[in-house]
Amino acid sequence: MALINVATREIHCKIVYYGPGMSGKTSNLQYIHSQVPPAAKGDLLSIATETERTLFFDFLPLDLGKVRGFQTRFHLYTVPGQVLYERTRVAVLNGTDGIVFVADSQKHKLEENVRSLRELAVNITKQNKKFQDFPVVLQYNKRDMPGALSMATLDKYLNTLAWQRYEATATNGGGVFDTLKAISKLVISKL
Amino acid sequence: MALSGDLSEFSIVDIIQLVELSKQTGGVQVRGQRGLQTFEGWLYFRDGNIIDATLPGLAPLDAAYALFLITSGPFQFHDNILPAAVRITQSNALIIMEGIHRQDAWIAAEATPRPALTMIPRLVPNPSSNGSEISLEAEEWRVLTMVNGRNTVGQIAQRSALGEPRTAEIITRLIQSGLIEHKAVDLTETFFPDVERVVLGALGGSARALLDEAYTNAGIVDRNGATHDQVAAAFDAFESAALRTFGAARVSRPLAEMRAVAQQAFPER
Repeated sequence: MALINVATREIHCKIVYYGPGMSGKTSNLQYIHSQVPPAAKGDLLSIATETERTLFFDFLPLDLGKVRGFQTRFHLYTVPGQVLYERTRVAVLNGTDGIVFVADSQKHKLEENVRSLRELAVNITKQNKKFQDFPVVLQYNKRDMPGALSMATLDKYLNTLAWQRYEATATNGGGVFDTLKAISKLVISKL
Repeated sequence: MALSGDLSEFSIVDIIQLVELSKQTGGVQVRGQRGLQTFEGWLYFRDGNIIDATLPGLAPLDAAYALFLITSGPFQFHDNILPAAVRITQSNALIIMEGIHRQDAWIAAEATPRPALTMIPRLVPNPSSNGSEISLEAEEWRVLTMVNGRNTVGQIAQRSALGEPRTAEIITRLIQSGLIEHKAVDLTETFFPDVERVVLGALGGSARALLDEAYTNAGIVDRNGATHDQVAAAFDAFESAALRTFGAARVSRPLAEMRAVAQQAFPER
């Protein structure tokens, strides 16, 4: 749920970067954070527990305009690395307004992608939300890897709900902002 | 959920966000005052989402927005009270943003002096919407159709049957939204001809020379730029000269009328 700060006239939306371990979620966040002007963003924070950590930061996109006089502030979250506990991923998903599913394009990662996407669907449904109506944008990351599957193959297994999807190489920033822009607009349109 | 208090300490926005966060089902009863009106309204939630609102005389969505204008008064959340039907489907976020928008407009309108009843509004030829939609209520539309650059606020209040306070409130809002503006009064179009009509009607054509002389002596050269002080001085001079020429019996009534016309043309005095 989007939270509204009346005093600052801001609406806070939460976007979670979800996907299998090592698919490039942290790279996405780090690249976005490195590109947003300092005045428009908060620090990239890492909330660490004994076993895993959550990365997040918030920023004010300056090119999205206002909604009824309110500026949209996005809070980007991810659970980096291979998280053992599903409970952590569920906690991070709680109250999210939009998801970027970062899939690893490499052939040997396909099964992990599918499993992670299924888990996402279950977790969103648990929050009493219809997964097919939920704002999701797909990112096929690591397009530069030699074993990358074709877009058509990835679509067949991952994009049965016909989401917007983008090719990316998050380590050098390729496709990162296209994905972010798409999910931002989608979240705002669903307010 | 035991949730009750006063809106001055816990705003309607806080209530909505708290109920949404805890995904509660039930109704919030709100009592409060806005100006001289007392409100008693309800805002209903299902699983934290607003699904209906009631406030006497208002449609559900307008009722929800109007609740934002109540900034003090008791509220209480009642568990599991549900309306018969879902009559609001907008998201809580949109309702809050629009409600706050209307609250801002209300505060600005309260801080803005009401337009004088003699003010003549006119349509802005090319209104800029600043990219935001302007939505008009039925009463606002009724007033807007009577704004033609000739009708005064007082005349619009009379013809629309909305009453002067409500009409002035609507005119203020329309000015703020950039749809209409204050038409600068051209004194040579209305004021000076009106005065002349009063004088000539009561005292005859010979009084015209006295009036023109009084204007000149008061320093009124460019008539459209005449100030209230200059007009007052001219009327005083005209009164002295007319008393000598026509006598008090004939002069007192037209002079009172002339001053009434001036009062309308310079309402700030």
